[in-house]
Amino acid sequence: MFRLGNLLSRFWNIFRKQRLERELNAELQTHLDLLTAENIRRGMSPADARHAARCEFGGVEQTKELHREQRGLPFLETLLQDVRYALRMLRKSPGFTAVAVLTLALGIGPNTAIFSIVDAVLLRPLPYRDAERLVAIWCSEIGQPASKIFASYRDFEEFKARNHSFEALEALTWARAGEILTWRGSPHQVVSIPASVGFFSLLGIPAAQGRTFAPEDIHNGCTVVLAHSFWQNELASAQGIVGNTLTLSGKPCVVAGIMPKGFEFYPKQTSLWTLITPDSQFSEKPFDSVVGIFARLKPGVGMAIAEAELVDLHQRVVKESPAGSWVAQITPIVRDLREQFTWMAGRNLRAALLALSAAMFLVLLIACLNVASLLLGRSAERQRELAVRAALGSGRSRLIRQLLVESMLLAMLGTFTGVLFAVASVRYFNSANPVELPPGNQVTLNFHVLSFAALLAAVTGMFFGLVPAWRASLVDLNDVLKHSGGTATRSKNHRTSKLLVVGQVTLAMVLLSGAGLLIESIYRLGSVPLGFRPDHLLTAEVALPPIAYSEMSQRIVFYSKLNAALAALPGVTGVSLCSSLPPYNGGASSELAVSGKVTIENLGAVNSVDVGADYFRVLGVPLLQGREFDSRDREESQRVAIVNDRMARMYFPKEDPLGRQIKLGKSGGNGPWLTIVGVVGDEKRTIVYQEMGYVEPALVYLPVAQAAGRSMGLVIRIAGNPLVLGSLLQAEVSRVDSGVPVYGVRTMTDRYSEFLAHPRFRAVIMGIVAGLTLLLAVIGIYGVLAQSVVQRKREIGIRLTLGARSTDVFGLVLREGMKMTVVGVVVGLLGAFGLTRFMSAMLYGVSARDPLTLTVVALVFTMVAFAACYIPARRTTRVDPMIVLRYQ
Amino acid sequence: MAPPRGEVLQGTLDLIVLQTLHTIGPLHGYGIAQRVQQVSEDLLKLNQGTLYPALLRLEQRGWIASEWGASENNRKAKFYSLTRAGRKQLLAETRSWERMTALMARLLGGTEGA
Repeated sequence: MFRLGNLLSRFWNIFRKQRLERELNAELQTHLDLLTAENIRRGMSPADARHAARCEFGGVEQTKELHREQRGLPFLETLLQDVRYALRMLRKSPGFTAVAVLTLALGIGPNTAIFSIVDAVLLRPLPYRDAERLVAIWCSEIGQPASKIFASYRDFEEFKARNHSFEALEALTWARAGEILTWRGSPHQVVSIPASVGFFSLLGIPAAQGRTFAPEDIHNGCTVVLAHSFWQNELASAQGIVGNTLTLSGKPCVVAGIMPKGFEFYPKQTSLWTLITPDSQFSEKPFDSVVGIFARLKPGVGMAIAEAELVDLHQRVVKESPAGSWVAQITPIVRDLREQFTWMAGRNLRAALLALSAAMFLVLLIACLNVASLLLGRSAERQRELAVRAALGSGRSRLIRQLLVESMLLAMLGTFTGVLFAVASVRYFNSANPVELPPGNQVTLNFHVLSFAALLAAVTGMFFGLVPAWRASLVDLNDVLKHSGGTATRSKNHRTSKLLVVGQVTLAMVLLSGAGLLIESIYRLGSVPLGFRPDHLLTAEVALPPIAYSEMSQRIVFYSKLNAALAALPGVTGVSLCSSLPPYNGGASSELAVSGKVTIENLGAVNSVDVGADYFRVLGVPLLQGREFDSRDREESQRVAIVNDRMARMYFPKEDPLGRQIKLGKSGGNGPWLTIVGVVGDEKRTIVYQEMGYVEPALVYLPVAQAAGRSMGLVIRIAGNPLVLGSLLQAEVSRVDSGVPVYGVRTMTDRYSEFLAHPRFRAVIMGIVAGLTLLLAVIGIYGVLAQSVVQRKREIGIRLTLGARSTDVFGLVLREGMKMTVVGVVVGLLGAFGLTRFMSAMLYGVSARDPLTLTVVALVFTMVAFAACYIPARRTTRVDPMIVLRYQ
Repeated sequence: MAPPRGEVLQGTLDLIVLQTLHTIGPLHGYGIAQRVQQVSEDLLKLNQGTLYPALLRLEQRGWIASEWGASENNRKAKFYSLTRAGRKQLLAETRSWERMTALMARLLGGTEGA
């Protein structure tokens, strides 16, 4: 205990030096005085007495020195001395300091910012109990190992009852339409997520208010648990809601509790969780209801073992399933939960974060190289000072230490500035939400991240400081002090600087190439023709309360009234409906039966989408054959369908699809036969497995007049700005029925651009990074050349006197600069060839070695570098040989 | 490997200082030095200056405390006194010295007899 106190007091003593020194002097003086007085009393003369006292006392200065060492922390004190000296040096050359600190901040700031995302997404465990053992259990279609779909509810029941691999196993599903919650009379469209009773205890998170689901809730009708954000934002933190009843899609539900702030699971937008009860569709139709299964492995049980067990259990489910059930075509897979969360947030999120980290690391490397070459340049100027210090007795290690302290100080200042930058960018990131991140951890500048920054500071300080310090400590005293400068060391330093610049150019080329490819990809992805005109289209979604709209006819009436009301609004040139709005290919997928042929037994044979009359005209999808849906198609008329070109080519090759009969599902199934009345062009849609690129799925369109679901998308073509209408939409819908909420109001262009969020985010960051590196590399080239011109003034003067023209000298310097550039660019291109292939999953429409992109990047770089060489080269023309030769 | 004459084992000096403060009470550096010399009768030849780092060390360990006061000749002087922890330490060290000297006495007495 007192050891720590001792250390602390010694530490404080460093800062009370003057006072302690005074006290020590006083104490020792008193001692000497008393000794002297004693000696005088013994009969000595005052002078002798003083002398004798001194002898008896011993060395006063040694005593003081011993006392000081005992009092403070000598190591720390010399360090402080070095720091003070270093600060003085940095203050003396503010330009150098500013450039070095800013360069480092540019290296460290973005690194720290990206690391804070990496930390939240890839490093910190999910904020659930024993998170490292949590898994997601999906199913994949047999023969398509990459596919991931929900399991059947029956699988969940079977797994839960019989498994031996898991401590806990629960179900949760988001494969449902929107629901409507009514609280104190106002409707809210909610994302309500059905979960099994033990879901919250699986995660080990208790409710903040009230409680989570309990086994006895199963028999008590509807029970819900609210998400904190929903309760706070949508219900205005209503007090006393816990234990109370609200209405969810027409049914009364008891609020059991509210989860703590910050608790989230997939999907992040969840407003509330409902309890899966025995009277729900899950228990009633266990083979047709789908759920995600989440579980915690028992300690020591591997995912492969657990998966093998589930595959066996699934076989039992298959055996008892009705003939031809889809469950026979799937098999369970077990995956790490965090990995799945990351995957669901962005297909390439993990790879992208790693690539961005690598890019940031390169930037830091470039920044370090830059500062190292700055320091090298400076050490040439400081040779005299160092020589003097060495002459006065500074050892070599002390000199290196002094210089290292200076570079550490630079690193710390740079890190501090960089962290400020990171704070700002994290704040911006959290408020702007440029990309979706997995649920669980928030992006924060926490202890982890700050330690990372501190580590960066230490490592970079050592890295860019060590070589110049080593170099500088090699001063030859005699040489330097006798002559005005050690030319040998200078040229050696200069060679090192040039190498550093080539290194920078190389790294910058790699980064620029990567950025070029990403930017090219996002540009191409964004300008792919979508198969329709996405501009001037407003989209929104509505959800109908289930009880008031239980009959198809009621829904059809509502939709046609709404259609008419919206079409009458000023500026609206067309209105239609679509059950699955672009771009996500989210329609119902099924097998396909064509009359007279064998059923195509593939769960994803076609996707079906319900659309209103006029849909293709409103969107601008070309009608290739036949007709659109119109008023002829009614609930009781002949059942019709329109197919897209893709579907026609896949299932009716070399045949005329018009008039043919198809059925969604098996030919023996109980769905109606549909007559194809039209063929339309393909829409570009997106799927969950593919981030960079669109698919053109085989689609079957059904008329809303014959297939109207409870939730529906609206597409409205408007002459002016679509969002102007957006604010009026709820009022218009409420005029038709005040119990129907409108949500997801945004333009079609926005819907596609959300799909591009991840690739765009990557491209933007890489673009910024590439810009920074270009800047840094250019500063590097410029700095080295400028220095070289100063150092070679004498040589240039001699050349000019001997008859060289100023253009020759100009060319000399320019060549020196361009040589570094070209070597760097060529090596960088080779590096880019090697490295960018790791990005191929993030590219679209360009190969990782796209010659055009790489050539353009190389050209741009060379041109910018030329400009950087030109300025210092220009300076040579201003050298006056007379002045130079006389002066030096 | 006996210490060269004049050098004082650290522990010995500590013990003497503690014992001095115990028997005489609060004392300034000069007083302690005089007492040490008096007691050791020049057996311990030490520069009086070396006392000060030792005093500081004892103070840092919390065995003695210091306070400013006036000396005999009315100069500012620092007076050192024993703390509770110091008293405990003194007791412990005295015991261990006694054990040691008893052991040595037995050992050396035995050799003399042989």
